[in-house]
Amino acid sequence: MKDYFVLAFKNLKRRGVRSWLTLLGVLIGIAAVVSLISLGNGLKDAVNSQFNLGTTEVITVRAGGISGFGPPGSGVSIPLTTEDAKALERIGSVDLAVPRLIETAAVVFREGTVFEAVSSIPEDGRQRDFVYESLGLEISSGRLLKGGDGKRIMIGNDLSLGDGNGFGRDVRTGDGLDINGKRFRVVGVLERKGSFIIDGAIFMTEGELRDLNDVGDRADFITVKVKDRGLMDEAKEEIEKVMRERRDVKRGGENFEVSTPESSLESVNQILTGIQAFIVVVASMSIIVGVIGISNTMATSVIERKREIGVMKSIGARNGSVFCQFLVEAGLLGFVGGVVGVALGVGMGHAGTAAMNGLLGISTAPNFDPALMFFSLLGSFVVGAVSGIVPAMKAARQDPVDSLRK
Amino acid sequence: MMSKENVKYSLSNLKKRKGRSALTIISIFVGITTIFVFMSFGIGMYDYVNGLVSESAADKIMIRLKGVGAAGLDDTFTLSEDDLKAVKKTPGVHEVSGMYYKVAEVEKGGENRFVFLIAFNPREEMVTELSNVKIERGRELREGEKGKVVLGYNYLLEDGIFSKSLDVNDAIVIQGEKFRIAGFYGPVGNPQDDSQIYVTLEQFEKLYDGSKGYNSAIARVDVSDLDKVIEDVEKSLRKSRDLKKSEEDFFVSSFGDILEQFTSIINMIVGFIILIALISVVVSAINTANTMITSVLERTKEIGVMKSVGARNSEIFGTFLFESGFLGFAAGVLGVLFGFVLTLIAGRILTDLGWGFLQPGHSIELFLGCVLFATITGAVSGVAPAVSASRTSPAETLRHE
Repeated sequence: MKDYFVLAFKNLKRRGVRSWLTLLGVLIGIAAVVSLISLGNGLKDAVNSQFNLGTTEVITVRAGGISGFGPPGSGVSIPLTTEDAKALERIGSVDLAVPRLIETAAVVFREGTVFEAVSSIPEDGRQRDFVYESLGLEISSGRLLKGGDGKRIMIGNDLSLGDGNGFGRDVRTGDGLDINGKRFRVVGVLERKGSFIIDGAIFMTEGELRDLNDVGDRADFITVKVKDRGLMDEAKEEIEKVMRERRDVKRGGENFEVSTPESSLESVNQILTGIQAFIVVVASMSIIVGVIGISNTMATSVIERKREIGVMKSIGARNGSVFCQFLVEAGLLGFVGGVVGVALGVGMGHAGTAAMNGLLGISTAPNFDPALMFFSLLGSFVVGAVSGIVPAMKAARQDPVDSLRK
Repeated sequence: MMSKENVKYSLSNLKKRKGRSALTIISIFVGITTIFVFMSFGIGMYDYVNGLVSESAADKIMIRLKGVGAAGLDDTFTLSEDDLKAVKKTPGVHEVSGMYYKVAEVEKGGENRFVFLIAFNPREEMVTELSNVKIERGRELREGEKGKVVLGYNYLLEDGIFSKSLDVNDAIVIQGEKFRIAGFYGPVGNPQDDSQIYVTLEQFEKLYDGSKGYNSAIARVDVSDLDKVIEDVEKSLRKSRDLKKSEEDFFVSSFGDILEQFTSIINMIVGFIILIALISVVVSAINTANTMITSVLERTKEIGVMKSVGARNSEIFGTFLFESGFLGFAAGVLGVLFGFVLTLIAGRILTDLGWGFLQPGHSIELFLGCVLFATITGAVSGVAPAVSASRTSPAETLRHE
């Protein structure tokens, strides 16, 4: 077995430029696929980290509608109400049910006007602590909002930075912002979370926000804290039952959604995976082309070494060992191409993310799946070997007498 | 430089090494086919959008409001009747019409769906002109009509929106209220537009009582100086909404601009995919170079003979270049033909899936361009081997063996 590899290596070396070119063909394709997959995974992680803000014990209730075009609560046909939240809180397995609002407002600071999302902070102490805890909000300067904080707001970190907040100057605690025509004072700036949902948002108490935009008793979504992690499924069912009753719909005709953190990102991930798969398929074309190159090189190699094969056979080499010899050669071409390709792909993945981060101002890291690397290495050997099968068979079947006669 | 004999010699050489030539052609072919398919869809999109702009939308401007998310999902800011009056009074504006957007729950036979509901004044033809749809079955809404709804095309299909197909005069429940279907629009060609439902402004105000104001407006304007009209409309709106410059909570844009943004996104996506497909062309060029190097090595003796009987360097160079160029050319022709068939099939599948506006476009430039590109790819990858062939010294090569 070892002999096969030594011999194969020697043969490949002998045909210098041609082996190199064949290798180059294979490795370009593999590098492209590896880097695109890792970039795609990195992007998926980044998107998930933007949206996945909850802890695992949170259940989210939303009204049915067209989602994906805006923040939760937009695009619903019949909105939830604060009464719904109260009803949910009466369920045995539910600890807290907090109605939340996300509104849009025109925000004026000095000469600059920007349009931002404004989120509600509950008035009730326990509910407020739960929201702070589940979103992981921490203060960077000033203080967190308290109950009954009239005409006061706290802001996300990005909104405080003059470089990029649209106002052209830093916003500090104590500054006054005009929000939809009313003056609010900043009491706190939050720690940066790396998610635009929080870093660019404004937070004010629920009562203030309801007054400001004349919201009535609408709730954009309700976050539910379950009493115990083990009660998640039970709580989800009970919430669905209560909501069906309250909205007068039958099972199967629900016009609301009850989602656990895992399920709420499913659709986004599905779309991203679809796009990634499509791009990888297109990129895989180049691997196919590279493999055709191996096939071609091996076919040529068999023709060139007709005499050599004849000699090998006439001194006792079996058909099987000639076949193996060529197969290993082809596989080796694929494998070496794979190793270099994966290494290059990892490098390109890093370079690509660095470029993307610089360009879009986000922080993604390429995600290299060890299984992916292992399978691309194994795969490249197998694919290389497979592309060598036909030429290897041709070599094995050669008649030694015939090939030595010439 | 190239005589008929050179060409003949090249072709017979390619024929002699059938297997290798075929593999080389296949490798170029794969990339060219991919590129052809995506460019064709890019052109198709471009034609579609251009068609919209020139046909009916060129003289329309849209007034939309700022907010988070898509139009109609966020009604923090809306347009009042007074705003519309101010727009109408602006010089260059012929007519203006407000619209409501909202997400609605529709129910039929125990199934419920969430779709966009659009309310407009059916007497104003601007709205339907904009999306370029005509009534497919039944009739348009009448001004001020209540209890009636016009549906998008997909409601006519079985398993389009509901499992059963609907017909004129069928009952349908929207936001808990019963409606009769007045008619259906023809296909726009994408699942979202074809699932929309339409009611009159009066019906909308009844259905959602306490609606704050219009979510957008369309105006037909004088096209001779579109930019000026847009600027003037912005000024009138600022005045009626009491806003300073740079404080605008609205956008005014020509329909052409909106479509242009859309095309530039599509172009970016198509460009990116083609870039990835180009990787395989690079690999195929390497393969071609490889094939040609082998070919030169094999024929060293032959080249020596040719040179000793008087062939010039340039002739040898030309012969090999022609060979690799021909490989590319053959791959290009095959790739374009196969790609053409693929786009036709893909177009059919997309139409069946409700994405009828995504159709391939075929221009003569695309066909010629792809073939030319393939030929150049082949020729370029043959340059180095051809040079090395032409530089072979005849004495050296003939001395071997």
